[in-house]
Amino acid sequence: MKSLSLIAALVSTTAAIGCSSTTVSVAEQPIIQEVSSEQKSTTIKLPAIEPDNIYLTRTLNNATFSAGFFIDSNGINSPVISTILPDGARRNYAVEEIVTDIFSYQSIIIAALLSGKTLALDSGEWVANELQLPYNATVIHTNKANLIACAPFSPIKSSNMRGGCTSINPDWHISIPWRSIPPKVCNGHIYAMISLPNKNEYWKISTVNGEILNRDAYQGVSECLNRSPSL
Amino acid sequence: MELHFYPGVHTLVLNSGKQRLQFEAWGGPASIGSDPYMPEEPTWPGQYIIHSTSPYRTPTWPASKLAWGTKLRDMPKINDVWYELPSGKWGSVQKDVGFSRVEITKMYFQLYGKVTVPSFWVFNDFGPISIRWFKDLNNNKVLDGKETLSGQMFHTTPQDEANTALGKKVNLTPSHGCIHLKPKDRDLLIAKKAFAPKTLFIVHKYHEKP
Repeated sequence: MKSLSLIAALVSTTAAIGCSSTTVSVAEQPIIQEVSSEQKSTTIKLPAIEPDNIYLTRTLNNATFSAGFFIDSNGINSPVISTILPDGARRNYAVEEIVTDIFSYQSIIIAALLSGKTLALDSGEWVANELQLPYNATVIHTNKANLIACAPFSPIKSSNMRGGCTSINPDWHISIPWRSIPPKVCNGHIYAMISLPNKNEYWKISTVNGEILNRDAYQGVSECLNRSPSL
Repeated sequence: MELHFYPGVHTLVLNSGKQRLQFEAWGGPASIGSDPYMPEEPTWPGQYIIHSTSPYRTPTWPASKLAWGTKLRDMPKINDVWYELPSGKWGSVQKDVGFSRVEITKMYFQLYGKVTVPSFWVFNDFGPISIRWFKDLNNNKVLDGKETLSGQMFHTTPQDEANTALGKKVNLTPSHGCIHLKPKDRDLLIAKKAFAPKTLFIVHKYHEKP
């Protein structure tokens, strides 16, 4: 476990940079752009060492993106996005929230955060992005125009987060009480395994309007999720 | 000693003869609900007998497979959390209970505002202790014959336990049919022996008031 004092020092350094970037003359335009880029950044670059925990890895644009944590001596987990570039170099960025997914949408690498906020990779920096996803979302499908994100139902009984999937274009939302295995898109349909207390259901859902086409699509779900849903 | 629950007005009354104390307590809705995972149901009116006070586990609710307070050991390098088995050995929460390490950190963050793996399980939906009751068909105040424990029970929730631990206000919420208590009220009721076995417990109809 590593001390987070270095992260704290880096945070205060960046804050100081932000405070000093108020007045710039026209002659210093390149600096304006650079400072502006620094202000946009919502992440802090960390030493390029392996995080204490990695729980999610995606390979996108020949680079490997991982979400994990640095853990301090008190057990506090600080979220980090770790990138391994094609040349093998590692870059670590501290982020404010737990990362729930990393995906590519409209040729941009995006990280989804627990709250639904997103960060976009811009010139090697993770910056705030306007795309807003549901709380605790996993992105199950993207194409040129559309993005479908799904959030699991909370395993906490008294929670009102009962899970669902949201499509951006076309715009629809459907409640789907999935938990551990995210729904998946195969052949233009969403397939989801629903684990209810006394039975499992296997849903086939339209990507066009979110309509449930079949609640007993065992074979389709099994093939799509590439594992036996009864396990 | 008698307990009376009035679900329509979220009130539990402890009548000890000398004292009459009222507590806020929330049961299920007056009619069947629409939770897709498990529809909420009314707390069924009737006359019951308190049976026992103990931690509760059930596979029905994923987070309730482990008892509250089960010891945990963080294993970040192998991306898992271990839990202590009754034998003293350790099992995998991921494999045996179905929660990944990051899910545990998310749940703990939602409840306590810290991104960490707790040292013991604080996610059991029924809190540290549940209070069970049964319908006493033969009026002998003992669970026997064809009598069974009710699936409805008194308990607290992980959110209310967290808020209490953090010194925050507890806002009780409707249940799936059980009766939600505030953690401090549960402790007070236990101290007053309100949940002693054989105590008479009456769930009134939704329109009734104390």
